[in-house]
Amino acid sequence: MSEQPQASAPAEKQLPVPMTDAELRLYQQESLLLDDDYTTELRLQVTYYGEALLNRVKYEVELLEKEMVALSMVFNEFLDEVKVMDDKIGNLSTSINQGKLQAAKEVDQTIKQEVQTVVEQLRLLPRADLDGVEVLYQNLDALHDNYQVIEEQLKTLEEIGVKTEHLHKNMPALEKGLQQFGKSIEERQMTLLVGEQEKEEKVDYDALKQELTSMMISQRRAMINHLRQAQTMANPKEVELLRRNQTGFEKSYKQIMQQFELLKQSGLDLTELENDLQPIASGLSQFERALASNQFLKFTEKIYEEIEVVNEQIRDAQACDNFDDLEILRENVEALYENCDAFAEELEELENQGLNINSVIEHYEVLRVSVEQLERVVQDSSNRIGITSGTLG
Amino acid sequence: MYNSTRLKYAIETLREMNRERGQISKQLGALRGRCQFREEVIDNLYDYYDVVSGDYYAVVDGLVRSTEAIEVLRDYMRDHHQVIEDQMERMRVMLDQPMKPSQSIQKLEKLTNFVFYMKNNQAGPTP
Repeated sequence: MSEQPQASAPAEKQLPVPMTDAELRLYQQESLLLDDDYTTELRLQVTYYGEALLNRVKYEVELLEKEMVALSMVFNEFLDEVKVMDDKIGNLSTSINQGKLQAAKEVDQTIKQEVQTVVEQLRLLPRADLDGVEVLYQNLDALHDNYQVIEEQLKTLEEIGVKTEHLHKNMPALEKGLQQFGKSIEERQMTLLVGEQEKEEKVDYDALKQELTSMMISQRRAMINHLRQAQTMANPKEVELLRRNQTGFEKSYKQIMQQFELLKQSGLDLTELENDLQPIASGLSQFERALASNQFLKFTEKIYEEIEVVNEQIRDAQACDNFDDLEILRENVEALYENCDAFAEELEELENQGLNINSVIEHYEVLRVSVEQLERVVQDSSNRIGITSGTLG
Repeated sequence: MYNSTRLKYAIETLREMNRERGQISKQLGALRGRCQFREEVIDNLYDYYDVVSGDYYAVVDGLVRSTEAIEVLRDYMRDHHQVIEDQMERMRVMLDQPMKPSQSIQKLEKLTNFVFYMKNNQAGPTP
């Protein structure tokens, strides 16, 4: 018996065997050779319609690609313009802020100088003759004119968004000084015209005492404002200004002390003056403590540190040229927004404690606007990188 | 004495520059939208080209033998051939229209329908 061939195991799944290139070519040739006339005609029609469709689409794609290139160029031009403009806006903002600060400082100094001038004029008064009184009247007119100019300047400062409360606080002292000066000139003129020589000598010391008293009153008021500012002022950039004011107070205190010593020689009773001197002296020593206990200042210092971080991020975003860094910058924008929210909560807490947070809010707003600007710059960079790399996303 | 006129002028200039910056940002956004939309349209046309050329070469090179299959392919190519010019014009009108980024998906869908599938019953863009 011959051996039965072993049955091969049935193929569970026969996969199609791929054709070789030669087999494929043969198949194609056979197809075309086997075509009847109708099929050949059909193939020719497919060739005609297919080529027309492909050419039409190819033409449109080429046109669109050229348009893309043109649009990208315009986009990049705009982007360059935006960069230049952002720089200009940044510089101008800084200049304006500095200008506002400078303007407020100058007006403040002008008011103090005017008060000082009034004090000096009052000092000259006891020695003035009739011609001198005439000159002093002219000076009084000039001081009145200056007072009006200062008022106009304060109004303008308010118009351009500079806070003037602390400047207004010194105005009553100037106004009172001018009134006092006017009255004193009249009295001096009267004395000169009546000619009471003996009385004049006595009035000299009294006037000096009077002058010193009014000077100390104005100093005491200014000192109260000064300390209040040190406790509530929220702008770290104004600390320098306050320190300068402090130096000014120290100088004035020395002058007061000199005059005080002079008056001691006259034998007048100076107990009241001595009592008035005490608050000024203690105010001078309280300045640093008031500054250290200023909660707002600490808060705005933190805000300014955050603004510095944001500005650095803006510079990074402007220089960014790849998607990885861009992703990090986007995450940073989110983190900075979260920090903003944390600041806002902290502010709310301060407000709930009954504190007036108006002076801090404007700094918080600067931070918020800066973060928004960062977000915009990141978006612009995303556009720029997308356009230049050909990956818009 | 500080110069308030100069400061006021600088603030006005800053306001003007910020306004201009905002305008440029808008234009940048619009340009970006146009670029993105064109890029997606190009992708779409490439896909369409791939499909048509695949069928075209299958017939021309003899990979398709069945007469009925070739007839089907001929018919759809003829149908597309009759409307392609009109559809491309509609696409051009749509491309040239101003478009908000939020509208792009909706418009692209419409465009895909009448460019890719050459559906005439789809409402075309209103010029």
